[in-house]
Amino acid sequence: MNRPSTGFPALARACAVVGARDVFAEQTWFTWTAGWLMRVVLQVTFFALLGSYVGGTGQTRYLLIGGAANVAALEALTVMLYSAHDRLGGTLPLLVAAPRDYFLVLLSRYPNCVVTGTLTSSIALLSCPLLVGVHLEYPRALLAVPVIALGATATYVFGGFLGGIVIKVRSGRWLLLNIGWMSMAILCGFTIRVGYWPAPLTWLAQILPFTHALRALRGVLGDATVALIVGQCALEAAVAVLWFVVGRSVLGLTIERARRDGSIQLSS
Amino acid sequence: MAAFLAGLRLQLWWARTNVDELQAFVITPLFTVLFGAVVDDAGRPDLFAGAVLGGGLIGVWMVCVQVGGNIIQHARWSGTFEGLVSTPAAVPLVIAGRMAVVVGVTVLLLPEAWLVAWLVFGVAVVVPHPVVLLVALLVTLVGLHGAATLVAGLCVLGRRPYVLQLALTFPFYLLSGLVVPVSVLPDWLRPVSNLSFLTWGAALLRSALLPGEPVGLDWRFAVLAVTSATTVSAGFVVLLVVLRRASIRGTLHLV
Repeated sequence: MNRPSTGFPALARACAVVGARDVFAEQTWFTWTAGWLMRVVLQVTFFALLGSYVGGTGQTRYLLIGGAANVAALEALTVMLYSAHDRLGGTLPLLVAAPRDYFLVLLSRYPNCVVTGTLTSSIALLSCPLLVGVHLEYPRALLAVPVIALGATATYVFGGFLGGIVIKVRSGRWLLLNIGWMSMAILCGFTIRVGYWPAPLTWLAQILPFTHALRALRGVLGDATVALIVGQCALEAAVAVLWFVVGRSVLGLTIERARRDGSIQLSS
Repeated sequence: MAAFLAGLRLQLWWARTNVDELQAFVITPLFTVLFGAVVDDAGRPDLFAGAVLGGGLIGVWMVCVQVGGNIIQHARWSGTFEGLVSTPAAVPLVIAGRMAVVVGVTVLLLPEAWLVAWLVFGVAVVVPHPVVLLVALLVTLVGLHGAATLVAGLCVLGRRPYVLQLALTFPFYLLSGLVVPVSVLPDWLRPVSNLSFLTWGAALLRSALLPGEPVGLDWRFAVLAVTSATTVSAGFVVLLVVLRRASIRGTLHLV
């Protein structure tokens, strides 16, 4: 008799299938291309032209790169919506009752957020320079793609942590997503230098996702040394591990408390 | 008039009970800080007032597209739209009342943006031409009412309204010159920009914040009035078409 595989690869595979089905239920190729991708390209163009308006070539390049990377952050962060989605859909008690860590289930289910975020961000980064007259050096510019993927992954894990916080919220999840995304856009160096802000906010940015990946990204698209780029990527990976540990703990505690007081279902 | 007032009261109640409807009041300060910091860091104090105005206008447009655009959709989801259409009240007037609240509330976003600019950057935005500002704002709000009605109607036609709503954010911020004037856009994009009432409204509002005397006010206000009136007309035509189509096809209730 064939026994079903129960290891982490089987869990990840099953979760990814469900996540992909969720995506295709919401989007078609036409709506993704004509709706989302078109918006993203114009969004990055908007930021690049803002740079051109306020400060010339240097600012244009800075805001173009930051604006493109910011798209990957936004898409990766949407994972935070899905924990409350599970609760509202009535599947959370079942998922929690299953013999798997719910935080792992949540993160395994929507890696498409990272994949599509990296894809749209990379398309915008590599196409918008043609619209606004910014020069990128090829093939070096292609190295931006894995760096964006790294930043998106760290943001995705951070989104899992935020999912633990918003899991019991009935409304206002989109508001919290937008606050998280905009705060990152302001603090992490997407649109404004990290050093511009007062010291406490600068320190906070060091442990937020994408700050170090952005430095690496700007280094890859500039003339930074390999050591600097690798060092920043390592710091970004460390930030991802940090939020994984924190997120798993927070979500675990939230769910444990909800099980005790019986509020894990929608009716509570 | 009773139908209009009923719509107005309903929307006031709805806004109080749905946090997501008020998110522009949280997002606008963040956009204001972002744009203010960009121009401040670039050492361009001359662009500061326009950047803050841009943060406010983005919030205004966001409310019209997302909150206004969802009005009919929410009624369909909750199963009340069929009931509304079957009453003797004129449905477009009820919708117009609800839209009036949505658009009217957005007026608060501009002073909010100015307050945030003062609190965060310590810069008070001065309005050298208050009459130009008030008249431009009033006519722009009329256009926004039409735009919100138009989006609400279009959202009913499509199966995935949020795709349309997402697509109407940054492309409109860019094409309507809400933060970056349309003069910075590539030449081939400007004819498209000129079709939008928001382009003319944003340009006039920005002129009201500049110290110099605004030029060509007569014809700019005329174009703003014409484009706003056209948008209002388009909004109501789409609304009537959608109502008729849904009634004939039996799709007033969302399936």
